[in-house]
Amino acid sequence: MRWFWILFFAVCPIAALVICIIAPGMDWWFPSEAGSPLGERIDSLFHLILYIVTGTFIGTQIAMVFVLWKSSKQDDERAWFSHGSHNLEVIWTIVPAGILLFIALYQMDVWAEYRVVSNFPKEARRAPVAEVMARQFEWRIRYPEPGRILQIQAQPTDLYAVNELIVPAAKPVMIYLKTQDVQHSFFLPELRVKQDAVPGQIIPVWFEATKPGEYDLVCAELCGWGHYKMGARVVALAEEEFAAAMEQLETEQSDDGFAESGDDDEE
Amino acid sequence: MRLSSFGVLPVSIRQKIKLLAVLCVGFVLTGCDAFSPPEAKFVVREETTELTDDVADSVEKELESAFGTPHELVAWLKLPIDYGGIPGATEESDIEGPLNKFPVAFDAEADEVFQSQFREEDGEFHFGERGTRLDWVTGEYAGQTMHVTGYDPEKNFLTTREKMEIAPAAGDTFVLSAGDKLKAGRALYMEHCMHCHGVSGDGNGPTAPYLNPRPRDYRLGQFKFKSTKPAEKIRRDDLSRIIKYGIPGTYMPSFLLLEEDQLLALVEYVRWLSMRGELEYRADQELILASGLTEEIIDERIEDGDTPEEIQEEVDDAVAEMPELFDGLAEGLAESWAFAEDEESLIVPTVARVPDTFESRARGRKFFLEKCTNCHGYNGRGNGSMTEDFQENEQTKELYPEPGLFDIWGNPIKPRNLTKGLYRGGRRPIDLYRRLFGGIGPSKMPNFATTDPSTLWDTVNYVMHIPFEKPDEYTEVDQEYFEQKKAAGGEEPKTADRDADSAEIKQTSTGTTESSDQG
Amino acid sequence: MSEAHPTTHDDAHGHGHEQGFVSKYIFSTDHKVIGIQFLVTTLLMLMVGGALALGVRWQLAFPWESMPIVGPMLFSGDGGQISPEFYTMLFTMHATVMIFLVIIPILAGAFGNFLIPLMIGADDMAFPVLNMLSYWFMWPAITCFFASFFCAGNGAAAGWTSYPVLSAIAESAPGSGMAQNWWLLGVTLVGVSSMMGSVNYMTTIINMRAPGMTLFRMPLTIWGMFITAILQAFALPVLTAAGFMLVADRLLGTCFFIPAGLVVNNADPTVGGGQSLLWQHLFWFYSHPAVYIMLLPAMGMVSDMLSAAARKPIFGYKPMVYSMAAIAGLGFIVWGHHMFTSGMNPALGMTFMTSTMMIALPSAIKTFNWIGTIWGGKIEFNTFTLNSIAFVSMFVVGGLSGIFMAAVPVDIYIHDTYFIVAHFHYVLFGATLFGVFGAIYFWYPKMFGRKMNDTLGKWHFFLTFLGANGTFFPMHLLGVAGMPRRYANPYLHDYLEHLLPMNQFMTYSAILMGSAQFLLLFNFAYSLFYGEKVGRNPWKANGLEWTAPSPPGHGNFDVLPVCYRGPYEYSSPLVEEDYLLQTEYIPPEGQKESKEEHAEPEHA
Repeated sequence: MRWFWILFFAVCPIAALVICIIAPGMDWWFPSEAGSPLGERIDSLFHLILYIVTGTFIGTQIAMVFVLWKSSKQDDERAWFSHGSHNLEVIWTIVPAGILLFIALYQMDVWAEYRVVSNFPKEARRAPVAEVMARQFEWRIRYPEPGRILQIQAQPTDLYAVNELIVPAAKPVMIYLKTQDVQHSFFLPELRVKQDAVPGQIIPVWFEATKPGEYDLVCAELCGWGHYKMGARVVALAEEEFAAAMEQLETEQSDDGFAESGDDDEE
Repeated sequence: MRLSSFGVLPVSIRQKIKLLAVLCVGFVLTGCDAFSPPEAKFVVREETTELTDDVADSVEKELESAFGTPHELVAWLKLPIDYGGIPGATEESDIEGPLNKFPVAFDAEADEVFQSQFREEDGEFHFGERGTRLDWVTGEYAGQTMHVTGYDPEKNFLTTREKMEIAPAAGDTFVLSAGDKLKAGRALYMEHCMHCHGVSGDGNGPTAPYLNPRPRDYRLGQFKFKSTKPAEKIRRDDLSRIIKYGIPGTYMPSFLLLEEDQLLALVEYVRWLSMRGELEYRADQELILASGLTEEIIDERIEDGDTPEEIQEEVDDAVAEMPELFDGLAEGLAESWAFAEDEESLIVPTVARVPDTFESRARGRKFFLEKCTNCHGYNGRGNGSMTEDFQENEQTKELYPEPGLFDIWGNPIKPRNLTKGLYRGGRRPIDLYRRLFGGIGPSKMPNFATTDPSTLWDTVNYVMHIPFEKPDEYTEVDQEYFEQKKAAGGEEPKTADRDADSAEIKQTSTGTTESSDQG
Repeated sequence: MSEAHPTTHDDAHGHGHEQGFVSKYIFSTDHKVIGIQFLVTTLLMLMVGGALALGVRWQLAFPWESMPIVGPMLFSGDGGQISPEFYTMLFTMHATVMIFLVIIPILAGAFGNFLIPLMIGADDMAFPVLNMLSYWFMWPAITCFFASFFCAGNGAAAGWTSYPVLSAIAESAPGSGMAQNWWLLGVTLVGVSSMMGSVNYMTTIINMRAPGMTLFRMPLTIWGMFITAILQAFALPVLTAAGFMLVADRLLGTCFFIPAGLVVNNADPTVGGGQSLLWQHLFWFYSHPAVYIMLLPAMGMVSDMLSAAARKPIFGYKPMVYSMAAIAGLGFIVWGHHMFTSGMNPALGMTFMTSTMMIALPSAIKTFNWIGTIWGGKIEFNTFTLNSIAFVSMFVVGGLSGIFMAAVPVDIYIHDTYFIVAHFHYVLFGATLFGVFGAIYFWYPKMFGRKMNDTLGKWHFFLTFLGANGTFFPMHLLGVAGMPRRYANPYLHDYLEHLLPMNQFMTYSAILMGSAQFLLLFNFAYSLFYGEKVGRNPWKANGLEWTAPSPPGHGNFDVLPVCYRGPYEYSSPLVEEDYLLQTEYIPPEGQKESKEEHAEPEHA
């Protein structure tokens, strides 16, 4: 039985490790490559921590299995009567402390860039693209009329959309995030963006989609029974296409059903 | 209208969908049988349960044979529903004797669907492990179901699992994977919609009691936000628009991420549920109001001296005539639903939108004062005098116990507060125009189909501007209007009410800010 | 110390042996009976919480398919499909039951009660009646939680964190009506129960230690319980106050947590002026320390068990104590790491990140010390040893995954995904519950005078360990794949569709794990009557509790225990056996002092 249990405690971590190694190949990993510059940095921080943590994990598990093997030998020797080692304690206090502090300090930059408003890219800060208002259970979006600046208060010329946020690609964009009812969270898995929409607050959020394309937008904070339903998409378009899309939205929104004699309902 | 043992129902085939087969689609929820999952059921209308037992049973039986159960859908070709499936016909063949393959031809449209549905990336045709169902419509095998297992694109040969004694004659028609659209719609409905709208579309799913307003009960065949003329049914386009963009201000969320074919399937299933419900409703009305076959009325009649035998005879007659009753009702229903899809029933303004100027809005304001303030209030806050009066229930002719307005489903409703900039039926000018032109029948908003279109556009302009109205913007317009009224000998305007209302709006508009205005 | 003296005890409780059944076994003031009451109650609640979890897992593996039992019973017309609010209720009540009715009371209530007086050599708790009340306040709490099942929405459904506005406005969710009121009342009552316990434990540990039992001769279990009690006493009032504020918001129309202008469920806009983030701060100010409340006693018990299992003194006793204290201290200043994405001041994010990273340090030290304890020992793989090793093994995973979320930028991505769920299940199930299972096997002989069946115990351990890892490890991957928590149907979103098979695997593992717990219950009940009878010290351990009879009678010890050394003197060269009881007096070489003289001055 002794060997069974030693192997048991050895096999489980090995299995965990193997699963982690094959995970990216099995598509059990990030939903896609990070689609934003900040996302790439977040990923590299993730991987940095992953390597440190994996090293520690392997180290501790090996140490544990080793001591289990050593100390479960069936001989007549007495256990080692020791109350500990001052030196060892000092080493395994200082070394992890150093590593942890390093991890903490190393992360500050990305965080500051992501969240501190004065660090936001200027071009994004100057012209917010849209106001995203979460409600149970959808995302309502309000754009300024092309050529205007988004106001906090709704304007007669504003354009509205639901569950589809169109942004220009390859440049930083900022949105105002708010909620109509309970707390929601604006989560773009592919772009590695997450920000809660807190009741009563308007929160500026910026991100940049490197490539044009469609990205998932989901809710990441429990907002009631339909929490899982809040799927939407962010569509990043090249600059000209974005302008065209806004124009089109404007045309659609001012549709008076007269010109096209009846087939105006097609979107 | 009778089901054969195969669940196949020969009917008169409509022009438009002549190639569709009748089918009965089984659907077994996957999962562990050991726990014997219960079957979903269609709810029986309350009116049906009021009928005397024999009649009620007969109604239920008739409904089940025409529509099936949520598990086993039946396609009733009387109804203008696109059940899905690929129609095709057999070609001349020289194969003799027992065979399991025969040459076929699809028309261009069907061929495209056929290719996209069954041709995999490897270029081969795949029909699933158990084969794809094929229903014969005409010819030797009419009414039978077979299973296609292969297709030879060079010779256009379809292979079936079943062996046939003789070859189908050239020109025999069949439908491949019939009913797949309705089935797909059902699956989507059970995933996305059922929790609120209920399995039968009665707006009473498990989550419904907690929602305000209550989810729509489709079973009257009535919808609020449609683009058709006042008396007409809703169009497919309208339903798909509602599903796609949601209804702001209610719990109906946007399902924008559904793909186009999913959306269409869902729309079809909702229409099917709606027709099923409406048919039951109409049959009940007929049996209650015209024939008086409820338990209650029968009891009264027996007290009044009618013999049970007499009544039993009537009941037996009603039961015997049930299929005809359903057929007749279905025909009317089919006609009105089909007509809604017609260009003629669509509301199309005859005049382009009047430019949005102050003058136009002022004219709109006058129209608003004339027609809308009773419900929507003097400032459009949805607090007109009607909201404080007791209204009469149209069916029972009794006053509702609570003051305020009620829709045809008996739910209390509030006239829209127009200061919020929240338009449930859509915020495009054409949407608002259609609301005015067509009214909102189920909630008793009157229609203005006979009003001059440019006046309607003026009103649209005014209504769209209400959320951005400056204080006292229309004071002069109002005064002018009331003076005109007075000159024409109308009633004295209630200035006191008006002022109170204005004061209120000013107060709250400073108190509440951004969150109340939205799209 | 006079309370601890056997003679005073006899005077005070002279009538103890004439007690009737009710006062002896039901409304008992004996800490052992109360402890066992807590243990049995919480084990039953463990099954309830587990059933709720299996409901969650079922929906994730077979979305919208008829849920066994529940589907036919509650949703027969809908083909057994549960409603989405039923799902939100399932995970809300799972967390609530597991945290408030299982883990906290099983550690503090069951083992705290049973072990504290025995391990420090006291005859009972300082306030026996308060102690009894602390158990009997559990039942109103349980009743409240269960009452919420019968309200609209089938139970509270705002998550165990109950973030306002969802939990503050009745219209915002089906379970936010009366069910939420019952829930809040339940949490308050659990708080009252815990508070009574912690006051009692602090007083008992400070005042009632046996002669010679200095603070640094206390077993680590007692240190864990002591620090936990302090944490409870300081953190709980905040939760209770926040709970009352939320109740006031809900019932009295105040607006502590409700900002103005919200339109929920088409109702009139709210008129508040409150701030919903306030709740998060107050809630996590309690609930983060609560994580350590749910962990420290288990750490202590595992230290005791590992040392006994390895026949070796604990490696670095004082660093162990200091690191527990550090965890408790730092535990109060890391609550903000639950709120990195909440939009609080970004500067706070940096501060909380640093403090959170630092709290990983004492945990690391403890892990190294546990390995050090086994190192060079004489280990035998019996059930409690296996469970303790599993504790260390899983705590390592839970601790290391914590580093990812302590790093704010990475947390942006993994916050509120399954990565978090994996992390806290590794800590709370992986670590704490394995510690508890070990403790049940270890102290069962002391509770009932019989051993639990070792073979059944090993099977239970084997299946639970496999099941737990199979259930919780893939959650890390789900998290990295971006699967948010609390989704009734994640597969609605294209990027999560391919995770269904993995979720099904996890559900099978969870079913395995859940069924394995019946082995524990069976073993527990079976061994009450048929277990191997044992003497005072079946494990040859050192603590004071092993000098008392098994099970200890009223008043615990037949003679006043006097403590001469720490509890971890295994394999001491001073004696021939490989253990040395704390009470055993060994005259120092060359001196012939009397016992009494030796014992007196140690504590003041």
